[in-house]
Amino acid sequence: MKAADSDTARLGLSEPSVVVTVEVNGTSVTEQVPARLNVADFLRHRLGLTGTHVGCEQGVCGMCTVLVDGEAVKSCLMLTAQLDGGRVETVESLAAEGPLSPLQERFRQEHALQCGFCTPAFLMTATALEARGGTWTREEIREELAGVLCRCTGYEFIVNAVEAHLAAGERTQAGD
Amino acid sequence: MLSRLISPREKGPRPVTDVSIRDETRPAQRERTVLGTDVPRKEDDRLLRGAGQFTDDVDRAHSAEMAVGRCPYPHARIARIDASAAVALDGVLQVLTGAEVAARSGLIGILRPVPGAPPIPHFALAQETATYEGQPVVSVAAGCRANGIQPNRKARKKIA
Repeated sequence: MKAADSDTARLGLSEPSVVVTVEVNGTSVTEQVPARLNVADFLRHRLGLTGTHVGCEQGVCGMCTVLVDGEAVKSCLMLTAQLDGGRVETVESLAAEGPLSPLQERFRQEHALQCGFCTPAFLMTATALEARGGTWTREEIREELAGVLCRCTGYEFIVNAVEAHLAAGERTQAGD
Repeated sequence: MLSRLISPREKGPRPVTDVSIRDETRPAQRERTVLGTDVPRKEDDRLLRGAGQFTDDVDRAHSAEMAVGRCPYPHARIARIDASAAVALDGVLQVLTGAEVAARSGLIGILRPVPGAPPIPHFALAQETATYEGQPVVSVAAGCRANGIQPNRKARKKIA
């Protein structure tokens, strides 16, 4: 990351900006962004990845959860500048053009979504959980998923889907 | 057999008992019923891929952006909201607080699909007291997103 103040002046921008190079869903991206731009807005408005949703914008609802270097983070609380040199995975990475991933297929089979607004966040949280390996009790899974709210209140089915997915050892590409 | 189910007085238009003509016990018809079976939802595929389209995903020309300042506490009295610095910023179209919302709009409800659950009417922005963490307290509408967020931080909320 390098400050691009000369570019700022040249482009007539009124606020400080930074140049960020980051790998998003396997593709390297270099963008000049306002220093205050958060990751959720970067993904949605700069890259058009609207599968990452924005709810409270203060780190409570978890809608904006994505993977940064394999870890589930709330992207509304992270600045784009912090991504430089890093790797981001969003829900769009789970099944780019092909069939649904095993995790997504589990969610469908278990009816673990209703309106679908929180679904990408749960999928990415579960992807990070899976990448950590090991076995998880239902109580531990509930604890790990607690950072994402579902206003349709379909938690039972969501926990069922994640539990079944982890128990079956179904592997996904993201987060490996 | 059908005729035996109809009394002589009911002759005329098609009798109610006509429904017995549909034989629900035939296997071919049973397989087509959706009752008691899991039906895959058509919308799940796109929602699971993050390819759904919610209102926040729609980019309309000339649309204003709104940022919402929310209560950071589970329960708090709102002592004072000073929006003067926010209003003074370029690009800010409107700053709304609870009192203005109450003056300009009515109570709204929330969908609670629980039998007997009270409707909990409330205003879109908190009034004297915020009753849950994340409850909207003040909103700033601006020409662009950055201009909405920054003044929202400047609209100082004094929350006791």
